[in-house]
Amino acid sequence: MLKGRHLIEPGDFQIEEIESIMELADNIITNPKGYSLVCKGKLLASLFYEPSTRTRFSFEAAMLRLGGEIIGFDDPNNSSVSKGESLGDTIRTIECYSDIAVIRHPREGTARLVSKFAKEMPIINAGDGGHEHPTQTLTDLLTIRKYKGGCDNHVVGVCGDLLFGRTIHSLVKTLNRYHGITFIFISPKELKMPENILSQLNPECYQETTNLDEVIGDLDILYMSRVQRERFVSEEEYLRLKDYYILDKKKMRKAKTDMIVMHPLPRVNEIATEVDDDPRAVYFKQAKCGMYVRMALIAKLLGVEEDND
Amino acid sequence: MKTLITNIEIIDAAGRRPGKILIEDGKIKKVYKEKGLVRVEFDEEIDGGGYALLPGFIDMHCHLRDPGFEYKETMETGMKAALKGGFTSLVAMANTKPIIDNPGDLKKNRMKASELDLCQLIQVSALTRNFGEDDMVDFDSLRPFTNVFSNDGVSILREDIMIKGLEASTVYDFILLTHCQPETSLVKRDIELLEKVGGHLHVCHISKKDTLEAIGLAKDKGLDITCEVTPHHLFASAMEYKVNPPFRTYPDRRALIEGIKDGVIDMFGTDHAPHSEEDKKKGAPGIDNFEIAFSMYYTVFEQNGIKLEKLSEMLSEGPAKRLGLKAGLIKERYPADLVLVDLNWEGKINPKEFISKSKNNPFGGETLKGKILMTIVKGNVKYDDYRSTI
Repeated sequence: MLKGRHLIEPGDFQIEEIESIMELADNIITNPKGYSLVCKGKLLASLFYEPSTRTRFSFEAAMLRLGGEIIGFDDPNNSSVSKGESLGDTIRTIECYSDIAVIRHPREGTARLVSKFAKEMPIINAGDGGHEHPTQTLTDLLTIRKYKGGCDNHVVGVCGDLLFGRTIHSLVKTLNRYHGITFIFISPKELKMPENILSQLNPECYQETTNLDEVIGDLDILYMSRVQRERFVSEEEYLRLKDYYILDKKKMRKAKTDMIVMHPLPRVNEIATEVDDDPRAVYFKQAKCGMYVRMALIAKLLGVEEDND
Repeated sequence: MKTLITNIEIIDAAGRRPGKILIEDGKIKKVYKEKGLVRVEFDEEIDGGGYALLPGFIDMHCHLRDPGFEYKETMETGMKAALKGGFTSLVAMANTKPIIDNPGDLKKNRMKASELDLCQLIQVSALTRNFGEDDMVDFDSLRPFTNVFSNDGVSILREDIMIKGLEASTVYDFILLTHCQPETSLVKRDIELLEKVGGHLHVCHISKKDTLEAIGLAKDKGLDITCEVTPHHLFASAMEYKVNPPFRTYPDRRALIEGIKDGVIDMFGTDHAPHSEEDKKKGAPGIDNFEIAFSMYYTVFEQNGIKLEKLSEMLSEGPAKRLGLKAGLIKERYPADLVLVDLNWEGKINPKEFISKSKNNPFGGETLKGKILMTIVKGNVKYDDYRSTI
């Protein structure tokens, strides 16, 4: 049962639990009216200690579309945080008012720490530093389910900054729990998938390459990621590597006709805009999936969709 | 008290034949072939008017909401609605308030049912305490009062709990009913576990083609697994009305109908789920359907050319077999649970006319076939829309 649980990293939920969220998201997509009031009278606290308009809007839209309400801040300078209040105290106080909380914090491990202070209120991690971003993973899974029919038996290419990309780490770890997944990791040597992730995978189930062009024809899913400026030690290195792997029309011609291209957004230039009109490009549809999956998650954690008939 | 029912066509899983039947002490004493005079004493005669007489329907899956949600339905309103729909026995789910997970609450409901003396109640017990993930229920003390255990409404996502449940179903000899969402993947997992640890599994209200295929394969392997389908999933697809499992696609619906023809689906369960208008607005999933379930099944069967014997098998003999009841057929020494049906009736349905306390049903205005005229439980007429209108 998911009622009352926290989601700090995808590993907190069993695959069956994740799939139950996916199925609820499917149901919400087909019958949104049926869910428009299930959270009536419930309050979500949205605690953004670092700005992230995209994620925050997605959560807030999700709660509002379930009929719930929102309190919160997206600029800690305007809250008691600036008076030096501890996180634990903030959470204890917020639990007095709200039914569920979403937290984003620049420091790794903060979400887990905070969840220990909440007695009954579920906490959702909306990103803690370079650590985890589990609802992005759920978004990716729902997108795969929606456009590829399910999460089993795919060849998944992951391209770009594999060293720092936390969304990629979360997704790889989670997809690895499904059946029949083969990964192809495509990155410059400097941004390779770190050893601590690779060691969790069956060596027969992944390969590493530096050449997107060579492997694109084998892929069912291509997950592109941004080479993030803020993750680099020096500006020079960023400039040297950022354009390394750009997806364009020419490369897309080599890909399967039913391959899908995903990207957590925002993109810089790793996907040429000419690809946007390709029906295989689903990255803008991902954002919508993100809202639906967050609706399903909130409903499950609040238990409003547990007691069915 | 002896009752003779004459001028009827007897229809059950064993076949169709004209006949007469004699009821004594709540049981079918004798089944006569129509030809030939019947020289027998009786206290009362019911002239069946040439209509069809079927064994009483056994609903494998319903929600009576009693105790705790009496504003949606009480055991009395639910059972009266069920009788109007031809149901003589009801398997009632445990998601009441309190949840039925202990012998005290379970016995209370059984007592209430026997005082009401309407339908026969087969009260399901929860599989885990309060539908939670901490403790299994106390099978030792519950098993004497029920042989059906289920956390219906809450999927069993944790594998270890499912294993414990299946193991207990062997040790205590009961049927474990599962509500599976996500449907196909959970059913597949449960089948794997069933193959590994054994047990008696019944999958509630299946709705998808893939699920059906998985269950078909499991049956081929000889596993003890059965499943049911609801009237609404057979009757409609892709409807915007909230129900769990949701309305599926047209190919899924077609597959369910094929699943009935080729025997993979064993029985029906209405999943009668009454909700107040307000709860429904807030998004409560479910359909109130006791009173039109038969007509929905029958209409689908007619449209698809499936025989009435099969309909009776799925409504009566199938669930009886699974539940271990000596019932579900019109046969000597079987209980006199009987339904008189007008198979030629055709008309529009109107949920506002339901006896059930709730009226949540999206099929108002649909034209359906078949109507229940009279329902007899253990030899006593409990619903009569036949003689009262003559």
